[in-house]
Amino acid sequence: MPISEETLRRIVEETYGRYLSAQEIEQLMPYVRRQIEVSERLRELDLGRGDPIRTHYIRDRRLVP
Amino acid sequence: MNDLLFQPIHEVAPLLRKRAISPVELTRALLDHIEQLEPKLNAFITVRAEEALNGARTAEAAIVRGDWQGPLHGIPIGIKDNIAVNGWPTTCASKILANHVTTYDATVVKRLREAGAVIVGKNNLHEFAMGGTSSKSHFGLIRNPWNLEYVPGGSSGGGAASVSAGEVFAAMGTDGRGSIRTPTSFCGVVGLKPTFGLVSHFGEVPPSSTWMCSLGPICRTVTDAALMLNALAGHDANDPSSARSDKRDYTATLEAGVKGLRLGLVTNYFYDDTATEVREAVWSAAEAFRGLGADVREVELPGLEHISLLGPGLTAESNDFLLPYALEHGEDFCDQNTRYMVLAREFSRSSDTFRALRVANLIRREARELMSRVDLLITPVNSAPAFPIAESRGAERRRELPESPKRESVTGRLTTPFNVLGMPAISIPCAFTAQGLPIGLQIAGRHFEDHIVLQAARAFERSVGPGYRRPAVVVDKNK
Repeated sequence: MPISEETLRRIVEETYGRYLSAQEIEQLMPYVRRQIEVSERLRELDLGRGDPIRTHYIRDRRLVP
Repeated sequence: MNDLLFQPIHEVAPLLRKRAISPVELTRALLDHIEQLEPKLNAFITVRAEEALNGARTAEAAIVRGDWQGPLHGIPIGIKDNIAVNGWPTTCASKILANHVTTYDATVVKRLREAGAVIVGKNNLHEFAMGGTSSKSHFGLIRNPWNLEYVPGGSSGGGAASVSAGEVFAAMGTDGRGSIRTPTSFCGVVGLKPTFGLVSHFGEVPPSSTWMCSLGPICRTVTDAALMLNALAGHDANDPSSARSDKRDYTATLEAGVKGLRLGLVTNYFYDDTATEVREAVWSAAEAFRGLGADVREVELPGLEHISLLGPGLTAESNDFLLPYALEHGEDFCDQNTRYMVLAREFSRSSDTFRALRVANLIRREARELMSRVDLLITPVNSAPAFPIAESRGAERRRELPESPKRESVTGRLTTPFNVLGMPAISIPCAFTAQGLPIGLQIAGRHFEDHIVLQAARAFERSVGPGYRRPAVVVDKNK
């Protein structure tokens, strides 16, 4: 479910408000939006279910000559 | 002596071995050359003249007593300033780490010392090795020796510029998304990203065991890259991602040619936004390979279309290192683009990371199938040659595409696939633009077949390519 702009800004402010000025938050927002877009696009990709036989994240075959 | 500074290692090494030249004289001449050029290039953050001369004296004494260590013995080399050298600052070109002195040698530095190399200094880079231009460094931007108003590429911009300009014979770089191949392409030299796991990560800052980054050599010739790899490759217990591969001599098959090798000319993804001069140079290279007896076929890797979605899977480790700095030393980031990217990545979800890894696996499966049909892939390194410093914004030069809402970058996009795939990939000089700027050719191979990548690169270099040329900044100086 897409996050509204208002909610997103509030989350960013609550996360970083202690460290960043209002102007810095403003500059950060486009980067956060881009990050959320990537999340949405990843979710939209039809990757199928996480079949264990296809998820070799730990055993990295590239390391076996 | 000055002419010697522009020769490849494989031509200088025999002279050192038979004592026709002395490592001390060579290093002294090189230090003078660095002193003259650095005000223009800014390719070094640290130069340790006295320590370099001490290293050269040690190398000379060993040669005199008949204890020659091999082709790197007495050869002055630069180290990217995100790789640890014992007792020297390792700054990552950042104000935040400006006083960070490492108390150990990275494994690659240790191995180069064991091979007799003389460490001269630490090369400048794009801050935190996160950018393709080298225009953002706390220690000042780096300039391209082919045109001082142009970027040298990044992030190993200092290494590429210094090797090109005769300041060192070789340099060590790191390559997480093309940081060796992009600057070597822009500066007209050779850059090798070895197979992931072949060269140790230990001593790289930020500490990295990711599946993206490889350390590798920047040189003037393919033979020099093979000589460097001979010294660098091999298992390291300090690096959990280090592979147990057999020791091999990477020079052994260099002159074997490409007759019978199957070369895949990748026709999708790599030309979406590529300058005509670059496309023509690569396609001419493909024709040249055909002329040399290779079986060149057009191939595709459709999964690459999704590569821009891999960020959440690629960046978790470096983000964890940089986040405290982004929060508490934000104003000290030279490249605010890096800082905001780090902050924004905290908003990716855990499921994003695994979805990104699944996309990466999908691309790997495609590549594995493709590499059962061909031995090598050839592509451009960057979608355009070097561009003016004035046009670089933030980490990359980005352009709006009128026909597409996508924003693509000149650097990184065409090199990242081989980081994701962990495949060895080399950038070699391929042609020059009408403006006199170098264009690079990328050749990638199967895992742990770095020797075949080098073999094809050498065949091109020997018979077709322009090879190493002295850049404008040096030629003009000598006029």
